[in-house]
Amino acid sequence: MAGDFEPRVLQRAGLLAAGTVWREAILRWQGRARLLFVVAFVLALVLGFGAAAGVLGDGSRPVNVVWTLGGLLGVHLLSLLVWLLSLVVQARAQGGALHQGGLLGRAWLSLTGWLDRSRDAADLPLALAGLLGRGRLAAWGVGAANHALWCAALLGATLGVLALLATRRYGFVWETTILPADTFVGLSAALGALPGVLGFPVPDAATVAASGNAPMLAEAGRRAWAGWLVGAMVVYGVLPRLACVLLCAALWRRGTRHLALDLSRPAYARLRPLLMPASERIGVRDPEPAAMPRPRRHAPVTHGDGGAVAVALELGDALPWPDSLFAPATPPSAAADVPARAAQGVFAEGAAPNATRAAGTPPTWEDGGRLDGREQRRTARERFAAHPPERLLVAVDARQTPDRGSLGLIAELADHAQALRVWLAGVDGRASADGETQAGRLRQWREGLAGIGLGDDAVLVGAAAARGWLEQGEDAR
Amino acid sequence: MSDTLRVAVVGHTNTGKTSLLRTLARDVDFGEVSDSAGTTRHVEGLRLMADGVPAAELFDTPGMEDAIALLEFIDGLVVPGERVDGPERVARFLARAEAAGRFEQEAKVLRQMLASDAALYVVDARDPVLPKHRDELELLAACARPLLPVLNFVADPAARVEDWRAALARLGLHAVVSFDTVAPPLDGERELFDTLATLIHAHRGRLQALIDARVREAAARRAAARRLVAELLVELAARRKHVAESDDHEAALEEAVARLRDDVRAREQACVDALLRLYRFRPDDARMAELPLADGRWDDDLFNPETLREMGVRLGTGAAAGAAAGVGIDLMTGGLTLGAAAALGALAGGLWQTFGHYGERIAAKLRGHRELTVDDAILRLLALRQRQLLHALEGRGHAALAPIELANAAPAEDAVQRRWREGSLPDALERARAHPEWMRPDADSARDAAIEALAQALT
Repeated sequence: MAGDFEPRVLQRAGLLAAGTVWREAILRWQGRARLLFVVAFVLALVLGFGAAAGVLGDGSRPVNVVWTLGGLLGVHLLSLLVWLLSLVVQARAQGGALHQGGLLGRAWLSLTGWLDRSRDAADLPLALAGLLGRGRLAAWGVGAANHALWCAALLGATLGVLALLATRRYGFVWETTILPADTFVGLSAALGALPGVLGFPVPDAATVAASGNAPMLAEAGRRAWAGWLVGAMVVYGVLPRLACVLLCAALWRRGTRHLALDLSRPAYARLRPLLMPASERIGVRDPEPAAMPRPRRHAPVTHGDGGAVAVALELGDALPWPDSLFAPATPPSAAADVPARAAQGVFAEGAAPNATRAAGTPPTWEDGGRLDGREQRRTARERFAAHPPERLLVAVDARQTPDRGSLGLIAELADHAQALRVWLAGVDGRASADGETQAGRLRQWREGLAGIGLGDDAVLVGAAAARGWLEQGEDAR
Repeated sequence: MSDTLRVAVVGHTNTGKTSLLRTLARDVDFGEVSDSAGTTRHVEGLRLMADGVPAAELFDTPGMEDAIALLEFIDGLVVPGERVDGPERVARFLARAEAAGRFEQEAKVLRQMLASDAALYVVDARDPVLPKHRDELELLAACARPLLPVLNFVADPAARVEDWRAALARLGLHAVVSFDTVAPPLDGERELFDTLATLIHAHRGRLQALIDARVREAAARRAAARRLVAELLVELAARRKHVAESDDHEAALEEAVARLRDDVRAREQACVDALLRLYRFRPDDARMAELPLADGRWDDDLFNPETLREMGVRLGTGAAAGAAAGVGIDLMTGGLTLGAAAALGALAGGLWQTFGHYGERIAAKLRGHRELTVDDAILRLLALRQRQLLHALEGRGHAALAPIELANAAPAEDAVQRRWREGSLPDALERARAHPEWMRPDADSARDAAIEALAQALT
């Protein structure tokens, strides 16, 4: 259903051509071709007339009927035969487009091109051939012109013959050295049969036989020969060519009506997304707010009695909590290998927030648990409101995009703690495979945290630094 | 609902919603894409067209960032014991001041959801499945619209496709589509629209029309691309360069070889440019990095023997070595050595023209000229690497920001590739050798037929 594509291509071409020399050149070419055709048509008429006069002579000598007919129709019949042959051959070879259509037609086209050899017109025949080459259109078009010119020439000849026969007295004769007289009787009867059907007179056998000995000067005989000659000209010359003209013109008209661009060509394929876009923009439906909502900080508590607490904010199952804190400078890949505690259930909301981890020594801080879901957050919020921690460590997965929800929660937690640090877990600060992405994420976290009033000094990178701050309350810098 | 199919594209922040729209709409400039949160802050629409007829409207929305708090807020709007359905809860929220304040971005998403027939929930499959995602989905489900999760970045090794599918299934979302906006699967778009159509049956016809149009368009583009490469090969196979006999004929030959090589390089570049234009790559396109090209050109020189070796093409025995590598020189016969196939093709192609060329060549031979042609090995190399480019162009999305490693060694050695590497060259190329006039675009149906046949051989 490229139904809409072609009109758009044509419209585009028309619009583009409007501002260029192309359109002008095409119109000039068309005008020239037409003018040339008219000139050639008139010329053909005149030449045909002249040929008739040349063949019939001035009446001083008798007219040889065989030579006259052969002279007036011979070339024509030969070229018609060649055209028909080429039609058959080309149908099989699918050869070059404009190389068909007969001698006169081709000469007409060449001459049209030759008259304007400017650069603008140089590509026109090529483009025309490219367009008309498919489906043998060009052959029909040029063929119609070719046959029309022949038709004109033969018409001119017939008219010439008629005019001369009307105004001059000719004697008709046939001559032979070796052939029997019967041959000419048969020949004239055979050639006259078809015109005879149309009402043209045919010389009877006696007339033919008599014309062999001396020029036929009797009136009936002269008339019969003249009628036979004109009949043969019309039936074997004008009419076949006229039929060819009509046939070619009909095929040409039908072809041009069904003329379509070959839209599978790469150039059109490239146009398609431009003319038939896969989408169009509707525009903004709900505009960006003047000010983006952003989490806000209130005054933090000045005194905490809740000790040191560490919580994990959306660490996911790749970073075990609180095990990550104990891994010395855990590289992310190693952390992923640790069996994930929270991975048993999807959306697992972590264990109870009292799982204090003692690695040999009694802990100096409490595990506040994971703060992923709403309930965990509410519990933590209530707990910290009752007993604000002195030091609150919030571990976040630095590989995630910081979002407003997380930052809002951190801001809220910061309000409920005497001191708060954010540990960007999951990265070790060293360059890694996707270092650029990680660096970008770290920067986004720092920017986001700065937006809620947590500057660089509130951000920790590396498990050791995080644990150090948690246990001693000193920034290990 | 009106007649148009409206689809909201929603999801957590920075999951690739705008990228998905860009890819689906083939609109590389739509919206803004960056690897950070809150890049899109407004709702913007795109109308997908099938053969010039609107098929669906997609709406890009801001990312949901504060779903947990919002769900808590909305739950707070319901008196305990009151039975309120999802849309009513959402409506209550949208009527509150917070919908223009703290939850302004989320309100935009929910409003657009209510104004749409369905929604695509875009997931960054690399993210761990977290409760915030569940709350997002609960909010979206409250809008009572069919929801199709689309897993993005599934091509990434860190993707947790199974986690996500399991998690979504627990929420009753069993129809899930994997669609990587960076490297979309060949049939991904079709699968996405197909699945969407099962969710909103009333609009099935529109979506089917869209699918059909896209399939046709892709096929047409592929055919056009192959035709471009076929044209390149035919024109180069047909190319002949006369070298006049002169006193210093070594230098003249060298110069002619250099010129021919430059011509061939320029012609190949023209083909690459045309292919990039066909696939809508722009010279400054970030996506250029995904192709086996550097700045839109092939890195390795066509006439470097090393390039041939890498592609596994051997220089033919008849080819001149050294300075003239890759250029066939017809010294002995003035270009009259034509295989039987070529001669037959020439006969079929147009008797007169063929005789004309023979005459021309005989004249050249008599004048002591020589002819240079492009060597078979170079044609093989061209076919192989243009084909590689075609494959790279086919499987790419419109949203890639970072280059993806493209295996230098061909991933799977296929029969076509082997044929181009070692087998006999297609007949169409042999025919082209006998038609120097095919070097230029011409309205010659025999040339068209050769190009068509060659395009088939490139599949």
